[in-house]
Amino acid sequence: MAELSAFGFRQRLTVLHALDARVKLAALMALSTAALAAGPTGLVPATVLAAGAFYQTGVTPLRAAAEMRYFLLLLAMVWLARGLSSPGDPLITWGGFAVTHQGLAAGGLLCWRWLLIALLGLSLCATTRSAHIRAAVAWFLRPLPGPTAHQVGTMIGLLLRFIPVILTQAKETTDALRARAIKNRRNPLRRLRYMTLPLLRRTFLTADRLALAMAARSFGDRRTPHPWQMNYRDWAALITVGTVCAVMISV
Amino acid sequence: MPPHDHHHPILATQGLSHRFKPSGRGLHDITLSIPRGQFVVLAGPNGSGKSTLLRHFNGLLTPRAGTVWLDGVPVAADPARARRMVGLVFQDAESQIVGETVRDDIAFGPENLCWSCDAVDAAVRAAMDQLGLTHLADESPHLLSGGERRRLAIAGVLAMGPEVVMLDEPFANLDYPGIREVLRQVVAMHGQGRTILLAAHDLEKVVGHAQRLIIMDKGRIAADGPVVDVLPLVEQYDVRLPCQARLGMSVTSWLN
Ligand SMILES: Nc1ncnc2c1ncn2[C@@H]1O[C@H](COP(=O)(O)OP(=O)(O)OP(=O)(O)O)[C@@H](O)[C@H]1O
Ligand SMILES: [Mg+2]
Repeated sequence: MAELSAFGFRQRLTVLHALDARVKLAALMALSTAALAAGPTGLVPATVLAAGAFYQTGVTPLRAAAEMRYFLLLLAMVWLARGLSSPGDPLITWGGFAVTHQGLAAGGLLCWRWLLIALLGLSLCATTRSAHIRAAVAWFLRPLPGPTAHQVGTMIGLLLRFIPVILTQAKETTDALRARAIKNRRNPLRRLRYMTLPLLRRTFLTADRLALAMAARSFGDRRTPHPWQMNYRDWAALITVGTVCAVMISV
Repeated sequence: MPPHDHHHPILATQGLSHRFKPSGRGLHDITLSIPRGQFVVLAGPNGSGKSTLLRHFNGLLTPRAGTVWLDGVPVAADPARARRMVGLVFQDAESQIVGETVRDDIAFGPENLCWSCDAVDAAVRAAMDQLGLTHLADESPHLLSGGERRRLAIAGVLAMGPEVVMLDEPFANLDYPGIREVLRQVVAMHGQGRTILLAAHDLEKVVGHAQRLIIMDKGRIAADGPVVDVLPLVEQYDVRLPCQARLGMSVTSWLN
């Protein structure tokens, strides 16, 4: 049985869950772009918005931090590297190295932006069915010629469906290897081989079976179109996000 | 369901052969005919070709030689029609689930048939109701028990309104209540007039309800006929004889 990631879709009764997927996707794109351009003051309203969105996912901060631990570690390293590598007033010095004020500020801003974007993205995933994300992507790609939009939508849908399955299988494979004392193997290449080959094999097998099962259920180029419906809440959300983005860029 | 032409058997094959490349195994010269509304059990040891045969009936595989007819039309001529009319519940229920919630997953097939939103919704509701999944509509399929997941797989197929329902090892990995629940659904679908093809190793659970038993061995049909006639032959083809049959009794239903 697949273990659910904290940010997998879960049905709840919140405003964010009820919003049109196109609105959420557009908001994510607009806020992310604005966040990359905004300074610290501009990031504040976006952070409030992201915190609100994150609250509606129902995931506890601790659980989220645990889930994102590698990402957070990476951000911490980026921060430190920035602090060490930027010229300016030294804050701490040891050996030939100095952590500078300017470096920490620049690194902090960078990390803040990425954390914000990650939170927004994860909130979108946790509150939107992948079928709806897929339909929204296809909707935005409508201007493209032919069935491209539908195919891209399907690819995204499958990817979202697949990631938790692959992660679960990776964990099962590691557990099975641990049970057979893989730790006693010194050679890291060997260990990698025992880990990767079965996982790749299983992934391809699962993909194969899933494709077959989808074909058996008549999956093809055409489907019932998604019933889009924008209500006042969706427009309100769009206007709010638009305003926040304008503020972020202008302050 | 559309009006039928009652002269044709719902499924028929003539000289059907299939070969998988590396091993050379597959199906050899399968000829059979299944009338509409029959409950058929397909039995045979591992690797005897049960799953392969089922995949020819809905056009997932195409024969190397021979023909498969679905209600008088060759499956190869219109595989889309075959997939609409013949639902297949796979051996491994986990890998046939595509939706994030029970409701989404059941809607997948009807949406692929481009039904209107209302029609999809009605089909999903009816299937959830029949399979007893209504209270789980917004649940993630990964959180379901084995029996519930198998019922979800059946519901996903049933929502498309197939005339023939094929189930590949539907009792694998289920506990006793799970088996009874799935069996009850299979019997109910048969009661609705659907043709049922069920592949299984273990006959005990199901032969009490079936009308016909086909034994497969090494890609061929080894025996085919009414359950009472074929049952005494099963052990020579590595299929376990139900205890009651061994004792000379008729096999009773697991539902009682
Ligand atoms: N995709 C494939 N490629 C190559 N060989 C295959 C493939 N699928 C099945 N086979 C082979 O064809 C034969 C019949 O397989 P099939 O899965 O139909 O048997 P089965 O009766 O369903 O067995 P089981 O009870 O294990 O499900 C087996 O020998 C199998 O190894
Ligand atoms: Mg099989």
